[in-house]
Amino acid sequence: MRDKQPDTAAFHRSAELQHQMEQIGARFLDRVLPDLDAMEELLAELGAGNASAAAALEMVAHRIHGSSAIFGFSMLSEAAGAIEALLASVQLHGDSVAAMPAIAEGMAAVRAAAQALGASHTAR
Amino acid sequence: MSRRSLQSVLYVDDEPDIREVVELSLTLAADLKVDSCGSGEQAIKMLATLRPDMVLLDVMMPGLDGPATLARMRADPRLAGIPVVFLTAKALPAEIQRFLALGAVAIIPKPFDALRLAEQVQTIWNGLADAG
Repeated sequence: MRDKQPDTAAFHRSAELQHQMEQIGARFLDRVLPDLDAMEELLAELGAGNASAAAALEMVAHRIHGSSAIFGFSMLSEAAGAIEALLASVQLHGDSVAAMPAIAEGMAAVRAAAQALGASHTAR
Repeated sequence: MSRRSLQSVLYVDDEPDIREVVELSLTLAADLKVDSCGSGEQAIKMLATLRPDMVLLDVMMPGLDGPATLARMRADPRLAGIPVVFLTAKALPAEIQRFLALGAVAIIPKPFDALRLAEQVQTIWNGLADAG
């Protein structure tokens, strides 16, 4: 039975890590909705002609995209990734006015995904 | 070359949740000493005293980003020899080549698997020892 001890220890470490990941993921979700509010403000600034808001928006979208993927929130990650790509294109081509409807639509998708995840976590 | 075992890592990322995940992953699975910070500027300050075996750098950060942080390290003789690994969602082949050309020893794509991260980092460290 002694041969099993290392596997058992590894299993417990893995279970502990997964448990803590769930807790960190829940805290991450708590912060996503306020982040989205900040993104809405940045989007309004972009719409008002402040081109530098695009880089700040892209940074927030990038954070949500990357972090949510690590926690396994794939729909949220994909929605945020789509906005990140749009904003990268806006900065490359300078077509923020034309992209505004698509960005706003993307923001709605991110909010819906975050709210769905928040609800599912609260229900546990 | 027989390089000693990997013992300490500095992880740099502006996202606090991911810092927590990486710290947990590397300490629980590999019993490494892990320090972390949220910016390239902080990393440069911490490196002056910490001298970890390896630095794991996020690429896209406000202020001093990952590549700029690596450039600062390479320009400082005290820090130039510390291996740097990028963790990035921008792991396209052209980007990977650019990061390696800048002096990174490896790239770990995001999203990474927290359960496997320690193994990936250890493999990179062992590869450095083999390449000696």
